[in-house]
Amino acid sequence: MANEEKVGLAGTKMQGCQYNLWASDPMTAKAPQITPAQLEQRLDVIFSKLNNLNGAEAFEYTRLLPIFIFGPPGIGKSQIVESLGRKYNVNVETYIASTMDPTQVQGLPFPNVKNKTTEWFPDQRWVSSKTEKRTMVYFFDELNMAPPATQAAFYRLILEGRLGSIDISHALRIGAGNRISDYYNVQQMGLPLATRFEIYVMRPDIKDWISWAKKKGLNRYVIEYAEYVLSTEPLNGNPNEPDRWYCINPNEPSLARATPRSWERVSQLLNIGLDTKEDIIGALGVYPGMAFESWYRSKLDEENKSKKTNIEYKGRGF
Amino acid sequence: MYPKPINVYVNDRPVPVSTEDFGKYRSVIIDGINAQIKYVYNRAKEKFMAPVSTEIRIGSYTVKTNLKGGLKFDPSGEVYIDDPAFLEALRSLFNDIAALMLIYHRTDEFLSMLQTPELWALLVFVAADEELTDMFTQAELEFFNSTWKKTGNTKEVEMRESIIEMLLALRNGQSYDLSRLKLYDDQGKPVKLTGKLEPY
Repeated sequence: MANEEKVGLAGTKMQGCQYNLWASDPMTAKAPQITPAQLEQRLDVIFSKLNNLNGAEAFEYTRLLPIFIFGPPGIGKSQIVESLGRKYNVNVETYIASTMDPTQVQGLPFPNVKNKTTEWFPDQRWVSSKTEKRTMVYFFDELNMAPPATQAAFYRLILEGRLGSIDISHALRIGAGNRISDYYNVQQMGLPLATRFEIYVMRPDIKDWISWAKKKGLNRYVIEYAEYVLSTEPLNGNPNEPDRWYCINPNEPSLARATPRSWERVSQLLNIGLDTKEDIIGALGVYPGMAFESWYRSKLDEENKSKKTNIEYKGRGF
Repeated sequence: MYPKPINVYVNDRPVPVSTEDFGKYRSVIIDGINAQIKYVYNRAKEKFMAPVSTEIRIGSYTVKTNLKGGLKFDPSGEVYIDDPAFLEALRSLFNDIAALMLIYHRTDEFLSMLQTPELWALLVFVAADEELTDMFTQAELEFFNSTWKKTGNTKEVEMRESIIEMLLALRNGQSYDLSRLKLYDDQGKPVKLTGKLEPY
């Protein structure tokens, strides 16, 4: 189905999205895939347990549980970790690994002339997080997009909890990153390293997202569209990720992509009255954006036709 | 102060009514204004009326009033509306009543409003606001002009016009020479007056 021309809603020509790369992704092909809700359930168990442990117990517990979450961009990896942090009053320290230099992880070498040795001065953030009284979770996002030297330093830190003068062994360490098939500058994680992690591979799930969006009170058109897409035949063969809803096609003419995160943005745009074709395509990309825009316009027309015109005079109260 | 066009709300969206479209929205507007007159009157009564009257000194005069708010009687002699929300409600209501005459030229509808007792009660408050008084006076003038001119009785029209001229002059603080009044007796013969009226 990949790259085929398909006819979308209201005659919109849509180019297919490439999803079946899941199966051939060298990082994640063998791993079981879970939905955002399933990941949240698992992390919920881990967070709630962590919150009730003392220092020594926490050390033992986290030693065995470095976690790595793989998944395409915009499906809520960081959001899940951060929302659980709020739920359990756990301090989640997030580091965007892709923007970090190796010295920010392992420290900056500084000569000790007297002893003729080198000392490693840690980055300020590691020092200040040590004073935190609450349970700590370190979340290293976009980890496999970081420069190789930074990644290597991070992996040690996640696995052992210690690196140079930095000690985060008492805290839960979670890494996250995209898959090679997501077309980002992702480095493949070596098997010796991968086997030391509890690895979760998360995939977008439209049903999960619909229940989340309803709970969060997103714009009703965005939710109704997702329900509509779910109820119609999926174009990519995977019923959980219909490509009119989730599309990170590399052939997409614009830089925008349709992901759960983009749909949340569309909801916000519609709520504030920014609902032109340009606004929608700017959030979702050309093909999914055109399909949604076309559905949205016909929905509005349909509603306007059926709506009884209500005319009234309104006086001012006091 | 000149009134703004009346707004109707079409599916909650305000739509200023044009002269051409008045007929389309007539019943909504007239029913709405009538209900609003009653609402403003009843609400003012509930909010500002005291069970017993009190006497208030204004300059060298003493005023007996049963109002406990709404109007502020300043010892300097000035009287004004002291409740901003009430003033806004009055301005909005009298804007629409004046607009009936001054924008839409609806004499019959304006007359029906003038016959509402609650409207007359509210005029006490209107008189305390110069802008409202100006606007309402303009609307009344327009009403009298349009109805008298329809009578075809030129002597009556002349008579009333000259009375209005006198009242406006006095209101504007000018003296008025009574010889300018055009009056006619029952047989249609001119009546001449002499003397001068000075403004208060």
